[in-house]
Amino acid sequence: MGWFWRWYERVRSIFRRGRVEGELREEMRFHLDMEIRDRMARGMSPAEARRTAHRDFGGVERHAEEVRSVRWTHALEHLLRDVRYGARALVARPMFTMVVLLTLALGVGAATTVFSVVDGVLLRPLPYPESERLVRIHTVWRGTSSGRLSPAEAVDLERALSEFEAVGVYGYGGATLTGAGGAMRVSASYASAGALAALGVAPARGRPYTSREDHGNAAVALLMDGFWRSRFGADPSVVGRTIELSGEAVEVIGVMPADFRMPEDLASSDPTQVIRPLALDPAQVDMSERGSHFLRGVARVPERLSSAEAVRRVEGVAAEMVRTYPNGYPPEMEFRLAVLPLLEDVVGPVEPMLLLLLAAVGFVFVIVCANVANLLLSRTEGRARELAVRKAVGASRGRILAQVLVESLLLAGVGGALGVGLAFAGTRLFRGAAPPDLPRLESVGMDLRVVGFGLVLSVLAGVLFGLAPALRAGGGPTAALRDGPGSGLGPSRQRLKRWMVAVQVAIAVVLATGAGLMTRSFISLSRVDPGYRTEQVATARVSLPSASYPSADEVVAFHAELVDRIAALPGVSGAGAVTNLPLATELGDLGFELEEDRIPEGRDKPDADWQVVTPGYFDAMAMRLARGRGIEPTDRAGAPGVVVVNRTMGEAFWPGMDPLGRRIRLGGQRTAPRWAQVVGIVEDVRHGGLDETDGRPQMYLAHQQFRTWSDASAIRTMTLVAHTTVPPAELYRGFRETVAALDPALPVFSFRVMEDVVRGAVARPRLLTALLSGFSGVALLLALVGVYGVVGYAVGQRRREFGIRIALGAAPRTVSRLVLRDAVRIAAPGVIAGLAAAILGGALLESFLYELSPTDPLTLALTTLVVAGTAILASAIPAHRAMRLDPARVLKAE
Amino acid sequence: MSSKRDVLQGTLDLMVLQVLAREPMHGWGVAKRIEQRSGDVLQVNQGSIYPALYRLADRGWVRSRLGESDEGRPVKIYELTAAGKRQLAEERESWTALSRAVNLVLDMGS
Repeated sequence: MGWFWRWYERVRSIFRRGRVEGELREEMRFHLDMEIRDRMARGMSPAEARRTAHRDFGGVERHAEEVRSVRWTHALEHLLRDVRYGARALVARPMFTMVVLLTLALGVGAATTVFSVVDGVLLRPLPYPESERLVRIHTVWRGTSSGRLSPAEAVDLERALSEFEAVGVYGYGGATLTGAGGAMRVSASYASAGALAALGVAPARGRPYTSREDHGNAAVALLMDGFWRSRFGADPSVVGRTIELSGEAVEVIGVMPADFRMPEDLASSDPTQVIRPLALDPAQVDMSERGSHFLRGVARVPERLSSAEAVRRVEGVAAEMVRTYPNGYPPEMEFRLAVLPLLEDVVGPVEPMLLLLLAAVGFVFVIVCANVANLLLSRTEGRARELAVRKAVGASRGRILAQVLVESLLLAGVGGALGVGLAFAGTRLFRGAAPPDLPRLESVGMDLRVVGFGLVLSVLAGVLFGLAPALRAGGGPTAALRDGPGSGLGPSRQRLKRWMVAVQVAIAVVLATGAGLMTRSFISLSRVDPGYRTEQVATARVSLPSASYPSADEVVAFHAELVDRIAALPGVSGAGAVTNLPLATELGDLGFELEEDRIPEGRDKPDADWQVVTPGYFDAMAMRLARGRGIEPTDRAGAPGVVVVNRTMGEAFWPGMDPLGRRIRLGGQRTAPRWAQVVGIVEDVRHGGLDETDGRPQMYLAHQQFRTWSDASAIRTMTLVAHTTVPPAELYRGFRETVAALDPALPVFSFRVMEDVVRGAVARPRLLTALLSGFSGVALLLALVGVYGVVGYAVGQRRREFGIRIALGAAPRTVSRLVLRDAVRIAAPGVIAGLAAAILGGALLESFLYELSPTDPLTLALTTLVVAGTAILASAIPAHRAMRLDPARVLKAE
Repeated sequence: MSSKRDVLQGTLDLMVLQVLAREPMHGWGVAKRIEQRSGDVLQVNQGSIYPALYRLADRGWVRSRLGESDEGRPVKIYELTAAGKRQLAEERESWTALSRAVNLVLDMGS
């Protein structure tokens, strides 16, 4: 611990110089007094004693000075002097300083920006108290790695996990808010009281609802802060007020805090505005009905349970479920429950992409440091004489080393500060350009930790690239003095620079390969034909509240009429409606039974993704009908039930047979089963994403015929789809006016042009491609500068040789070929190493690429050409200069 | 290559360490003790005791605390640390080796 006190004393002496000085003088005064007294005791006179004592003591000031130097304040003054000297030296060479500062700022800025994204998305804890104890519980079965929970499963979980602090489930939906301010569609969360308790955030105003209120489907609601401000003008009296939601009178019992988000809101561009009870009453749930997976589970693990134990508990519940309800969980299903930290669930999907970006920017930063190091090394050579003189006059190696290091740190500090400033802009740019559904995008920003990272990075860089020139500066000065200014680099220094340039080239190759692969992959992805029309289509959603349209017939009639009127609008050549717009909303699965009551090989109970459509949908979306027909207006409520299946479904459930004419039975155990006959087969579409290649069975039911079996109601929320001959965006007014003509109180929401939907679906690959291309562009530019620097220097060194060659009759072209050969010698190992690294590391990129191998030879070849071309381009100017050397002048200058 | 001053400094440090090894004391006491023990041969500039003490304290071989002189006057007292004890032993060895070597060379002369 002694070292600590020594440092303490040092720091103290810096800050309390006065007091420390005083102590020292006190000591010396005591010493002198004692000495004087001693001498007087031996018989000297007081004057004599004082004189001899002072003489023998030696100069007080001198000793004080020595002590001061020991106490290291001296060292600090040296430091300050170095800083001033270094700053002056840098200012004296503005070009050099600016280039270094800009390069550094670029490197630090880019790295800090990417770190701010990684920090905000992946590292920062979720905005819930003790969020590390929050977990997501979801189902897993064969074919589904991340399924939702069913009501029966939710009830079982809440009961069985009673030792958890809180367990709950929730779902998302919508509602129509009517009243003052007009009718509007609101995004709603339906959460059990347990789910809110698990999240652990209490309303900022008012109170949450209790379990009893939740089970009793109490007419209460919580408002989200943003919605409270925008719709209710932040009026505090809203608590206790009654509002009309989907025709129901609901009391507002609280407002959530401003920074509260439901978990999926963290990655949503359509965040929740209202929270209502899920109203799942355990007493009324049919526990034998295990299907209908639409709920999301969340739980708060108590502190005393380790995560392993928590996982075991949940898995135990799953095992119990399988045991108790063998019909619901046949063994082939391989059903189980999985638990993972909520943070991982929210950001997991983007983690690989962000880490890739971090690695790429890390590479760029290495290149930046190498470039700056090379620049500094060149500069040190230029100062060889100056440093030699200083050494000859007695400056110690340590002092010179310290001074050069201080200069580097100064550059690093200022460059780093500029870089952090750039990062502020970069972060803002990123937030604007990033896909809005990037999880936790709003947490991305420059906070203290990110700024700290940037500063630490710059200091690290300063030490790294400052060390090499500093060490070189410390050694071997007299040679420089002896040989004069043209003596230049020792061979070892030159080799170091060439190696650094080779490293830069290698990194540029790796980045360029990555960018090239991503670009090609992205281009093929955007050219994919998903199986439906992606241009000239306008979409919007409409939701009919049960209060105004209580019966299924009214719902069906409304939607049919609406579709007809939309189809009749000018500029529209066809219209229809569907429950889930491709690429926009997820599909759910629906179970059914085959007429022959058989279960096909290798599958469990039959189920398929389901859509409910109106006639005209298939045409409007240009879906390809392979056989049979689509849904037609004759498929009405009383008519025989029909279903259109996709190719995969046909092959899966009727292998080797003709699906047309076969029947399936829909419906749960509580309502009478409904039959549907297969009347058509459509080609598979890519619904979940443009890169979706594993075909899933899908079925399309007629809107007029479909009834939910919980309350025999028709589907109320449909997405309108219109194929337009005019620019689709112009249809917005037409949609609203048509709906308003049918029902003025009905809001039209989520108006989107299909092109934008598609663009949103590839937003992440696009961002990744753009960023990687940007990074590789910077890397190539820096590598070009690096090669240019080294080759140019080499040419300068070999001027004498070239002059002699030309004088002896060599063609200028020969000389320039020599220069190019040198450039190739520098760059080639870099290119080879880079290619090797790209091939070896290619597997890492595999998950980002669409139908492209990471070792795609065409891309590798192109990259090699580009980088090699860059190196040759970089040496073009020095080669040209070498060609035009005047031998007479060169030789005379000797 | 240490200068003449370095050698002197080193020797002084060694003596100070030795004096403090026997008992903690203040700066003047150390100077006086060295003078006495060396039979008044070594009369270093008394003031140079202070840079030596602070240097030793800086390296962690000696620590200082506030104490009292014989008359009760507040004064800084120096004492040896554990590291200082080790350093003392090391320096004594080097000093012995050095002086033996010098003697050998001198014996060779006239």
